[in-house]
Amino acid sequence: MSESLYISLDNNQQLTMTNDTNPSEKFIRGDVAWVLTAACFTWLMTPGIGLFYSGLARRKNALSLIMLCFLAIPIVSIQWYTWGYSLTFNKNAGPFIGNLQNVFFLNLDWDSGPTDASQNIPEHAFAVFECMFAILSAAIIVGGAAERIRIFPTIIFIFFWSTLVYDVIASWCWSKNGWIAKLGGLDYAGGIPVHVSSGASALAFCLIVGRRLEDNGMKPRRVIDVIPHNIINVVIGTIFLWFGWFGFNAGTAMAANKRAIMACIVSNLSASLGGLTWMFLDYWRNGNLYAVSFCSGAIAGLVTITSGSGYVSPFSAVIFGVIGGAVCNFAARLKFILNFDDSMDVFAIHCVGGLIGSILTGAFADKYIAHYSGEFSWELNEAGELDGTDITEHGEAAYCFADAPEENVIRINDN
Amino acid sequence: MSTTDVSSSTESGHVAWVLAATCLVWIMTPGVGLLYSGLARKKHALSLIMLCFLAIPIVSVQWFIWGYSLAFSRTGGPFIGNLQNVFFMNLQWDSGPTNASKQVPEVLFAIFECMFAVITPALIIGAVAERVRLLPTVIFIFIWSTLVYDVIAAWCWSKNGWFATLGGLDYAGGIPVHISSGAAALAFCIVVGRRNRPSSPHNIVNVILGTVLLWFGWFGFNGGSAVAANKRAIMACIVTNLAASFSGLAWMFLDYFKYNKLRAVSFCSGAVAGLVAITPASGYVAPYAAAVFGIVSGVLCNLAVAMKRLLGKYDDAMDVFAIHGIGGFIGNILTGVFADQNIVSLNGDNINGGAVNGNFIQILIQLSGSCSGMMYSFLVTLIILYIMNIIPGLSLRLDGEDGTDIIEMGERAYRFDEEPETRNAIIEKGDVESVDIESANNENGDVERSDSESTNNEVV
Repeated sequence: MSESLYISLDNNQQLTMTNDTNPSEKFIRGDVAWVLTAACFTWLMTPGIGLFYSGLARRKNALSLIMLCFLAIPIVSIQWYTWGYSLTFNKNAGPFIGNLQNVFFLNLDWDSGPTDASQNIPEHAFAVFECMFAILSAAIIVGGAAERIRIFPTIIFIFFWSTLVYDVIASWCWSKNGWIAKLGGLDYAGGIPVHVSSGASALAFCLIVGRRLEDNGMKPRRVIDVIPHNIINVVIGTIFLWFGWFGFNAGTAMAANKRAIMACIVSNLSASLGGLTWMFLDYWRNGNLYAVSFCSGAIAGLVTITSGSGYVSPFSAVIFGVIGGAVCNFAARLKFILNFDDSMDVFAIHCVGGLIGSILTGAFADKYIAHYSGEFSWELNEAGELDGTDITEHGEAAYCFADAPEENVIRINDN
Repeated sequence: MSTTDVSSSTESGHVAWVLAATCLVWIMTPGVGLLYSGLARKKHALSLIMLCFLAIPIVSVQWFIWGYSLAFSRTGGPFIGNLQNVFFMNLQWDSGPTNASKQVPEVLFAIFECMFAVITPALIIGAVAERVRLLPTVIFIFIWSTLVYDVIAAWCWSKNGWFATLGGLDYAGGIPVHISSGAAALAFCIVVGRRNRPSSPHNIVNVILGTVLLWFGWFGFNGGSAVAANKRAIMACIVTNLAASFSGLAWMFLDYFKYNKLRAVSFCSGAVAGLVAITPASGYVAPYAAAVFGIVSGVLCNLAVAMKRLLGKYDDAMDVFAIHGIGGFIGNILTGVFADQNIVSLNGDNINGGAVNGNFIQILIQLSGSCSGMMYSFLVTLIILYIMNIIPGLSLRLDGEDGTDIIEMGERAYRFDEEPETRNAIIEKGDVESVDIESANNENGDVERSDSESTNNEVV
């Protein structure tokens, strides 16, 4: 009953929809509405992770942790506007990195985004949405070296890390010419650029910075296990993360279409199962239903489903959640066995969870789900044909182990 | 060249709004948890927010498995659906299963309604705060969702539901969500019994934060029930905000006359009461009516809170029955009064209208739905709980000095400037053999407040 859309044939004899009040605008208003909303939701994830880390630490470090994550927002926003977006998503990018054609958001196209998925929205909307991803990735790393880093050097580090690591890996995975994308690798909302990269970087960070000191100021023989000072904040942080993740995954559809809906459903299911799995594993181990366990598990489930959120069915999401929650739970014990002080289990949840998610995406990606974003497409818009699991699985396995060691100073046994 | 998801009846604008509304309703459940957590004592803070938070995974899974099918299957009966849509199978892409949801794919309607199913059992938790075991409650949530929520939702919202075909008006869930949870809360707190000690809020900022998330999410709750981005959705947002505002102020000023103070908890309770009352009416009434809804619900729910002291038999910790049960009842009856054909025709639908259109029968129809929902929920909840209490291992009551957090969860919500700060120090001290936070605390939870403060306990 709304007459807001105007269907016509464009120059290439393709059906296209434009807005009747301004027919020169080629973007779809409903899609823009959803992507803008999703950008705001994803923005909220960064304060969420700040609250999460803050609550898990000791009271004397509470403020610095949430401020470090919160400070990632202005630093990376500026970096993204300056050259981050251009290096990542430039239309004439190379296979490994973009160029500087779009610095300061210049030369952006109002008609469509730079990737195949984002044809319905202006490139500006795509840019601001992706900015939130870059912000979150930088904020995640902070947890790896929590309670023992100086703020000013860290924010300088965030600026350079965003440029040299995040932008590079994101252009591999998401840019039209990126080598992983061209290889047919499937990473919907950022398992690799956001979670694996930040998790691995957090590991490097904590190895460089060294273990936290004990209560009496002495260097400990073993890794210390801090008791959280405010678990309510941990829960609130998890709330903002889970809420924002709907924007993170479903917004990556770059349109208010069926794929966005499906991404919403699978994200919710995976988080639910991840949380329950981790919580019940700890219940079986310790006899208590810990809140921190449920929150960590929910995040692990969300991390796991991130690569696959646009490719898998709800049934598969259940498997993603259970496996992600269980494997990340075991990975979280690694820091005690191998004696590295990853305070907030960033490596266990984000890096390991992201790797698991990528592998499972290769196993469970379903071409029918991918085709939800274009029923009327006469040619395939997805990067490569998704036929069968073998090729995608090998492609997946090959690249996800290729970049993880890059950020590690010391290689952890990842076979 | 645009690649578009074009189909004749679904448009991206509608999908965008309902997707956003889905997320907004999602965040209401943690909001309820924060609200209850702040209202309880410190040593129960964590278990309250976690019980509400745990409703999310439990009911999401239940909804995916069979909840949606039992509530909304297209070929369902007048009292319950069938299992055609288990695991979200056989959903149609062209339109939703109800008359209201023709603009969006059915799968979006399914995930949107999932969030309603999620928040309903979370509301019940408040009534039995501070004295209930976690695992049996989680199991109760799964069972209750299936036997009570799905049934009542099928009555009111399914195309073939008896209340819907009778012409009953319930836009966003007065009966399935609020009346049912209020009545269930009453049953739950009767079964579990009174608390042993008086209580008072430990963190009113969390109460406010919870109310903030609830009010924010309620725009999605009511506005999203248009299942489209149309004029009715806009009107629903307008009346929602007005009703909450009037009701919050009404409750707060009523308490000002009683206690001579402008209390935050009063305003928050009032706002929630107003939101509850406007819920069934949000798509049917004009803004002037929202003011009436707000004032009436603010005043009557405030007086209803006093009921539990008069009747003396039930300890409804967070006044879930007074706010959600009575508030929902008031809202449903007032819907029968103020439902307006002009508002409904904003998106082209037609109803017989309410008393303002001269259709006084509507009030009786509303009464029939409200009473049956309340009775059904109360009785079935009583039966479920009674059976659960008998089964060994599933008993619901929890007593203990240390508080639910320590006993059930082994965690404490807050540790400010306490020694020791790490579990390693506890082990090395040699006091305990295993890492056990409970043993690390030599003192019990928080200090009990004096009696004079506790009697001034207007917990809601």
